[in-house]
Amino acid sequence: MKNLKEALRACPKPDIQVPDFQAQLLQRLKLEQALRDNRRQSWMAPIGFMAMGVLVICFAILLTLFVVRPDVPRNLNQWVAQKWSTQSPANSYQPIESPRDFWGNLGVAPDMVSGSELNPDAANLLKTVLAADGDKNYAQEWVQQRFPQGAPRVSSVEQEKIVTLRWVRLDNGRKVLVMNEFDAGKLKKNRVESADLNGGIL
Amino acid sequence: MRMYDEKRVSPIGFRRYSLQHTYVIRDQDGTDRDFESLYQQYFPDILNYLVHCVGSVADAEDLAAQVFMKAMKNLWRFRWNRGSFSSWLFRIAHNEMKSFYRKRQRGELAGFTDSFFEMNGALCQEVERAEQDRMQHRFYLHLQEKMSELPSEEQSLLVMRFFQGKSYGELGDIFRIRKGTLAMRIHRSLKKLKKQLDLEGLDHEEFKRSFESLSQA
Repeated sequence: MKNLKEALRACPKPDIQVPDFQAQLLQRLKLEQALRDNRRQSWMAPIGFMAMGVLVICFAILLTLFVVRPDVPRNLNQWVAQKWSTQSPANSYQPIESPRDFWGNLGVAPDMVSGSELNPDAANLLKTVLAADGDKNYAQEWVQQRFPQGAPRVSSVEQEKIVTLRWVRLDNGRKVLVMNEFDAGKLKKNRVESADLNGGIL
Repeated sequence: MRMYDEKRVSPIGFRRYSLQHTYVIRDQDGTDRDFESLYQQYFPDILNYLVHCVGSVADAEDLAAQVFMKAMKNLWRFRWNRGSFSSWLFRIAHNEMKSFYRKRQRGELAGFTDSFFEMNGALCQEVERAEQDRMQHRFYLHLQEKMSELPSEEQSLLVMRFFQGKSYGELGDIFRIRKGTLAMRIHRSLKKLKKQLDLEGLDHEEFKRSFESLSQA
């Protein structure tokens, strides 16, 4: 085997040279390359735009699936109907027809406030403010309680106020009641938010 | 190592890859090589390899043309870290050679030459001269004929290893196999070749002696 290897190595082999063919092939290769460049330039731009479009679509799909993650069942119509019916009133906009009911629904009805740690004046004030939110009858009752003798009739509610009350603990150990007033007229658009604020604090 | 377009070198020295100009590649040692210089350097090796395998200068020319055409088209795929440029070219040549054998078996080679070149008088004469030169090497022709009866991969291994003197490392890069496997395959191929030579009554010992006497003369 070793001799065969040596025989293969030592065997005189022809060294084929074809310079004309080599030169002609080089010219042909250059020509081919130039043609390919021209061809490529013509379809590169549309392909590039298509690729970009595909990338954008893929990105949008990935974003929807992994970031937004909608809980969409197979039947889309069913999902929309279910979503509409189970929407909670608290999350949807509803016009406030009865301010008394509205405040009461938030869990800060005047009866509940009276049993809290607020002092009587604050509790009464709160009751009044909360209940007199556009309620002429309640305002009349409150006026009669305060002025039992010769109470005048309430002709109209001139001004509505939204009040927040906070018990604040000071460094010296005392508790003070801090009241903030907001003009309800200006805040009417944000009534839901301000109501939430009051409910949270109380 | 990647291709780039010289015209599009940015001011900070960052070389951008180019999809349109595939002529220039950077060598392992940092020097820039254009496709033409690589072609001039490797064309004789590739042609001789194909002649050794196929046994015909005209077919080898066609195959070499295919090899360099494919190399030029796919130059952007080439990476130095996966082996040298020469190994990459020889791998293409080996694949082309296998494809040539397959097509020849199916009889699909009609018009193969015409698709590339119209063989004019000068080229035909050149081929004839090369063929005559080849025919003068009697022992080589015997060996080449017997080697051509081996499977194409074994034939390539023997040609590259013993006719072209390639190292195991280069062969490993070309065929993408480990050195141990390579040695084993070469050994098996040699055994097959020896068997065929013995069957024909050709004594390679005699060949060797005659080579030595020729070289001494």
